[in-house]
Amino acid sequence: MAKKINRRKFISNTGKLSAAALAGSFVLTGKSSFASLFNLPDIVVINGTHYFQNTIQAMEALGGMGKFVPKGSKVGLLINSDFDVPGTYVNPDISIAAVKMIFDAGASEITKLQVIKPEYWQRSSHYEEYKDMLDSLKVVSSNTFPAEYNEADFVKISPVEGGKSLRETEVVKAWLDCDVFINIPIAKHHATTLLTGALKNIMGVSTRKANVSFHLGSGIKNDPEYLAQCIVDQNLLKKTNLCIMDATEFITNNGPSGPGDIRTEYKIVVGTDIVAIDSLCSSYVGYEHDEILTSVLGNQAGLGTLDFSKLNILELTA
Amino acid sequence: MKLLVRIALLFITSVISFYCLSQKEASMQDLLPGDRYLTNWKVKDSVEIFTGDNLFSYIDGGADIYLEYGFIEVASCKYANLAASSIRVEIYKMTSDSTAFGIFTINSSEKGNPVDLGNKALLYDYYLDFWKGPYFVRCTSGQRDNGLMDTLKLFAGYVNDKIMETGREPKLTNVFRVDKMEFRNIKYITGIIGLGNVFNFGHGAIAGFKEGVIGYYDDKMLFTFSYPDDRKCREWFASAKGKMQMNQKYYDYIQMENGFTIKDKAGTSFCFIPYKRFIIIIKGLGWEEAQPVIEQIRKNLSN
Repeated sequence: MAKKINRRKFISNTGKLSAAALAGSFVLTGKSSFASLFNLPDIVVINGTHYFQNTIQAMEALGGMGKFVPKGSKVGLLINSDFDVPGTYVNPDISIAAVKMIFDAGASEITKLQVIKPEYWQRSSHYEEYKDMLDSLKVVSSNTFPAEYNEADFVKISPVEGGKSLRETEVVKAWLDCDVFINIPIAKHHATTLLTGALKNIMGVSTRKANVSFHLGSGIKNDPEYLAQCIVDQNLLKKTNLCIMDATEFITNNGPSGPGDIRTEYKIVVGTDIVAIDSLCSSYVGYEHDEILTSVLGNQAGLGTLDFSKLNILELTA
Repeated sequence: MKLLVRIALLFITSVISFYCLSQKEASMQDLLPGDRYLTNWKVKDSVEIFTGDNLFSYIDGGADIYLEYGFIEVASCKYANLAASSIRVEIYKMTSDSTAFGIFTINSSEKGNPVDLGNKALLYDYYLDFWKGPYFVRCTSGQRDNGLMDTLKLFAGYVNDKIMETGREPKLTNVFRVDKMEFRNIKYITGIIGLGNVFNFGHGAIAGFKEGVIGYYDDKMLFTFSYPDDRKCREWFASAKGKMQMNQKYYDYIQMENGFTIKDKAGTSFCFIPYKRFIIIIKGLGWEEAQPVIEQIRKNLSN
């Protein structure tokens, strides 16, 4: 399970964990460069209400954005932003912090793999400060719900290599072409898969037609296992290099679009193992990790670790 | 001559189809408030109407559960006021009173406060749901703003007045008429997605049912699943028995005279009982304690 560390406690810890905690705590005091000297955690969970700053602190504890974004690289960014009601979209403070860190790390360009409406950014108190930076992001302008295929922005893939259920799909070219893919999902309820998280967020890079085939393509309407397998299969097309999960405030029923009952956990979870991050976050939403088919099948497909307790998880309190 | 007849028939068919479509859309649209309904509130986006599987083009994820219940059509409209507040009104036409009731219940939670609208209405901190006849209606505020709660009720009240149909809850909910037990947060389900949103017995353990009801009583739960006939019910009961025994999350399986008990990791007892074309499951009571409840449920199911 995750180990909880706060400022007072970290000094008393020893070994690998204390090294990681030290890194996290130095983040709190602005000396994060020491992080690379230690064995870093696989996943960092940060608790607190200052989401912009906490996202930066969590990333520093994970080794810093520079560990994932080489200078001059092209970054593809997928943010679950396209919902209106509370608890259904990633808090924009988290997204803006991520964009800032990616540019600070030296990325040459960032492409929004899905259209992000201006009102999404405007919900953040940091919007005015970073408006110019956000305006500089490239965008796959035709990938907006319900996205239709066009040759300029999408590519048809058939067969899906390694896929068990998904025979063909239509995905955003920029997703496959980017040097670094950063997935920024929200942990929330989903009526069919129970959890919308990192694995499920990948449906954001495909056309509506492809996504409907995930739901109906087995020939049986309402087939949760087929849907979950298609999601996993699509994830095989491109590795997620970094996941920043919003588990701050989210719906626990009526998902994914809500409205629904809102739970606040004030957590941001960062790491590269998307199966483990989904598994961990499923417990926040109210499920056991092995109840989530996407996680179970994702683990079977080699996308990550179902039993997150096997990983080194550092939990910080800001 | 034949060609002329064909052209005439095609023309008449097209006119009738167009007329029917217009009537259908008009009837759903008529249930929605117009621009002049509330001062300062204007229609922000035009009315959207989606039918059948096209629901996937309206709901970004989450359409499956509506389709599982039996969805026909949705009419949706967003309204905005001068202060840039917004309210969305959605009217889902379902295949029956029962399925409208079902989708209402699966969306409901204990955080809702009853409101006197339709067959049943619940007001949450920023939205209001009600069902009436074959319709499930949702009014959602874009912000969590207490000042908008009365406006939500006004929008919902308009739709409520326009819906002429009345509704009845499915007969299966009668199982909850048990002495000295007041069930709350009742869910009516028609498939495995609905069940998965309430409780997970393990993959495929409970399936094949036509309809089901779930109710909460203290920390206990009562499930009743209805199958097409006795034979199907026996088959699915045998399947459930096998899968529950195989499931590592459950232990202490005991075969009883008519059914079985099993415990979950937390030590909570589950009683599984087949009865005619129904499977009854009680979570939270041991076999002996459950017998008076089971007896009453059997009576309710026989009536």
